[in-house]
Amino acid sequence: MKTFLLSSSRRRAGPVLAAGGALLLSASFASTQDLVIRGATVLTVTNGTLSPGSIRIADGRIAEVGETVSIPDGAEVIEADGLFVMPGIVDAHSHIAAESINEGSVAVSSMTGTGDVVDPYDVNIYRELAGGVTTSNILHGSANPIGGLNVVIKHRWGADAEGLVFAGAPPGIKFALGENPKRSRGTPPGVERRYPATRMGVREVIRQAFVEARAYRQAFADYESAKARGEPALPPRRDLKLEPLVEILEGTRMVHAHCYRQDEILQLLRLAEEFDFRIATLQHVLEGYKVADEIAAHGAGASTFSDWWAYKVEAYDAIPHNAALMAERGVLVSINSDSAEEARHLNQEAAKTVKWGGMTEEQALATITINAAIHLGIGDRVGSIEVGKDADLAVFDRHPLSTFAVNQMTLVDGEVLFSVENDREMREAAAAERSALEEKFAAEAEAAGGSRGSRRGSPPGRPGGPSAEKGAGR
Amino acid sequence: MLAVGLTFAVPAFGASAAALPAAAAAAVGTQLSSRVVADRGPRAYAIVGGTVHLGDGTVLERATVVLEDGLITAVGADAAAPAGAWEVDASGKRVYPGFTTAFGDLGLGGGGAGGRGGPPGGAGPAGSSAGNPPPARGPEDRPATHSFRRAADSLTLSDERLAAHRESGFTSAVSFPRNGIVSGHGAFLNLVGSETGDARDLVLAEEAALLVRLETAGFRSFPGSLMGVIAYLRQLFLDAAHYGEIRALYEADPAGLPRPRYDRTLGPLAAAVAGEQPVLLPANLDKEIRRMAHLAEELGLRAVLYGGHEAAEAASFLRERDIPVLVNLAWPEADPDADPEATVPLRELRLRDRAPAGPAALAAAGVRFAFYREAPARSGAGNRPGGPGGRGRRGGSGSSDDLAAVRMAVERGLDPEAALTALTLAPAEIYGVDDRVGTIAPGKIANLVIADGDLFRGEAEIAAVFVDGVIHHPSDESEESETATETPAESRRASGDPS
Repeated sequence: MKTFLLSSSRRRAGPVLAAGGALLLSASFASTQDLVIRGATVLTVTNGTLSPGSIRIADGRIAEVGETVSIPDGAEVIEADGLFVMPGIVDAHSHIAAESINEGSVAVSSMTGTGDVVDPYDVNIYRELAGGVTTSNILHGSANPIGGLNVVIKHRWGADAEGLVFAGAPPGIKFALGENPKRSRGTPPGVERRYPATRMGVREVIRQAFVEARAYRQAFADYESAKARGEPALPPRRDLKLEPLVEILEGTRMVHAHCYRQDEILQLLRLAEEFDFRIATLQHVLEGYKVADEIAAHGAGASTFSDWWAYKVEAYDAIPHNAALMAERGVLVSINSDSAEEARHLNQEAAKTVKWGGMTEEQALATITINAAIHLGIGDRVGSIEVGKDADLAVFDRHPLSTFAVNQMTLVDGEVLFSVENDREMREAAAAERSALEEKFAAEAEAAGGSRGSRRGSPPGRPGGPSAEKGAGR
Repeated sequence: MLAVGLTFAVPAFGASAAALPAAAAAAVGTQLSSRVVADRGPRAYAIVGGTVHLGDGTVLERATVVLEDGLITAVGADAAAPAGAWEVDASGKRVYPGFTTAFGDLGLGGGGAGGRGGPPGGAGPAGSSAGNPPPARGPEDRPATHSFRRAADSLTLSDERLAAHRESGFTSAVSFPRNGIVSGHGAFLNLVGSETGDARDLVLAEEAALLVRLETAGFRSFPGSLMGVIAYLRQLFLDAAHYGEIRALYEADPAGLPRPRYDRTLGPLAAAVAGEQPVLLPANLDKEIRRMAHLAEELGLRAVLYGGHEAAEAASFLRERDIPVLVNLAWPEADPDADPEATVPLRELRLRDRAPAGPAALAAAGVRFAFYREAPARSGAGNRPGGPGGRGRRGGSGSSDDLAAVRMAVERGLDPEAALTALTLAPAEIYGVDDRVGTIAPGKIANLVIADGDLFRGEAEIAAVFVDGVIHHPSDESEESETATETPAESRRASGDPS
């Protein structure tokens, strides 16, 4: 049995990870080998707090949770005395790791999706991992009443785009109401003003799209029955804009609707009820506290900010008590980031619900873990420390709701993908690699000589030939 | 003129080498077949005594290559030359199959000094074209979709880059219309000289591949984003398949059926949709390679990826899917205009270091690849390849840099024979014309390069280039290029030809 010491910052002496910590990122933590986190305070979120508590991880999942757990031969052990383990944070509203966010040229952009443009090189995947985030909902922007499809990712830093995708997460789509889709802050020069320009228009665009989606579904049904009757018929054209809307009508695609004001919120809930579907989450929903009963009755979740307000007219009536007030009325509430920066300290954002709204610590943690997971339809996979769930964990040096808490280690699927110690080593390795490359390029430039020298890769022209002269003038 | 000292022995004539080919050919015109016009030179050559790289990995020492009427008729130690063939003494020299630059816009004009010639068809990139077409409001408006355009229909012999490329050993090129999300069909060209007088002689295959770029138009016009243009391509190819299906059903029995609406963009996509025609997709970085490969797989397209600077990272991925790559020989460089004190991302430094080693990794993994060269608009790891021909590619300098860039790949571990394959057989296979070009073999088109040494190591010079069995000398070409800056040499030489 190998043992890693992970000391708490309360006992600040010595490195956070003792010698051998570098192995944490190596293949020695292949999923076949059990990993045990021992002697921590375990914040399960759904089943109380264990202190001391231990977690055994096998095959990337949580295999055992208790005051003590079995330690099989060959298991790696992280001594976590004095540390706090919480479920990996789930961010229900993110725009990282995508090479484009808005298809703003059209009012309905449901043919697009962030899943097509996942950017595995985006360093925010790693930075948020350092803040304890393990799952993010990558949403299309809010330029359109009906926006593009989402993709839920795990922060598997180093994986390719396909490897980042949270396999099995139900599909979703972005809707947006209010100032953004009606382009109330104007359009750039040379760009035609796009319909809609009012909240009435936004509602009309959404309604019209669902009327079309119904007709589209009917066209295929008509075609099938004509064919069955032996009548001449041509197969209808598949429309990738309308297919996701048909999925919404059939309840197989989750709607995540950006909204602010209580009037537009009610407008959307009623529109959805007219077409007999449910809004999965209202996003931002800063005036949600005014219509919490209606939201609860509809069954929509609410994913809001901790305390952002007044950054535009429709955000003037926001209050930091929003999350707590909605939760009191029976709405399932999560706190999201909508920001690569804020996502790095969502634990502090959750803590504000305790300060402002008087939520319990467990309720507060739920807003960035299990509630967000349920909002994304993955509550059975992540969001709490329970046997059978994915071993996505964040290890803090203090209680994560403390302003002073710093995340020390983040695991995704049982693999340590961030630790303070490994991070230090990675920085050193990156700095060494950079200076080696820079020295190499400088040497090559010197060898090439002259003004062309700084242009690595400029092959020499033919000596004396006409091409050499032309080449120099580029 | 023949500075490299290639010597000719002319049957029955003691003509000096300096007079060749045009003048001498005219002088011996009476001996030639009436099929050969005077300024195309002799109809038969025997290239004797050289080290012949067949292009399939075989190298023959002191072998003879016989060319007749534009084709290779015999190769070997004892290949017999027909009576009247001109003998080219290639002893001490290397003979290679002619090179192909596998992606670009050669022959479409522009690109040279003052090369501001508009693209054929006049259509600019989505959203930024002259005349500002109304903004597209969805896939149905077919934004920047020029699938009906063919490079073969817009060729000109007055593109001075043709001569510059021949000078560097390129006998073939694959040229595509510029601009657009779907730019149109590319043609596989044989880089014939002005002696033919007709640009149609350039075309070896007129629909060699379909070119897709990922142009976007911001908020002005659909698609305005990368995900928008990907979504558009998905809908477009779906529509093309549907169009083919309903047109066939309607043609078979129109009674009682609504008449399908004609769409000029969809018919020309049929071969691509059927997976018969290669589709070029831009992919420079590993993430772009995987993204485009997955898209092609989903749409059932036969993908050929272009860019490929980070392809080594995805080598096994590409091998598993048998997806070929066109590697851009414009290796990434530091941006000369960048603030020297700015911090360049490590990822970019890494790419700059590793890109020239990429071909070696691709060869080792068994990925098929060919070369082209297109300077990006700006340096940087994240640039998409495939912008319209810009100021980066100027006539002569670009093409001679090509071989220098290949030599850099060889220095970084690429086997010289693999480098040769990437310039010859690989592009011929990728574009489906390996039955007529790509190797030195009897029956194939007489595209050859003769160099005074190993072109892939050291400083060898090109002595002569044969295109369709017509000899071209670099020194002539240089002169032609130089004079071309003032007077278009092609039109001067093809005097009397109105084109």
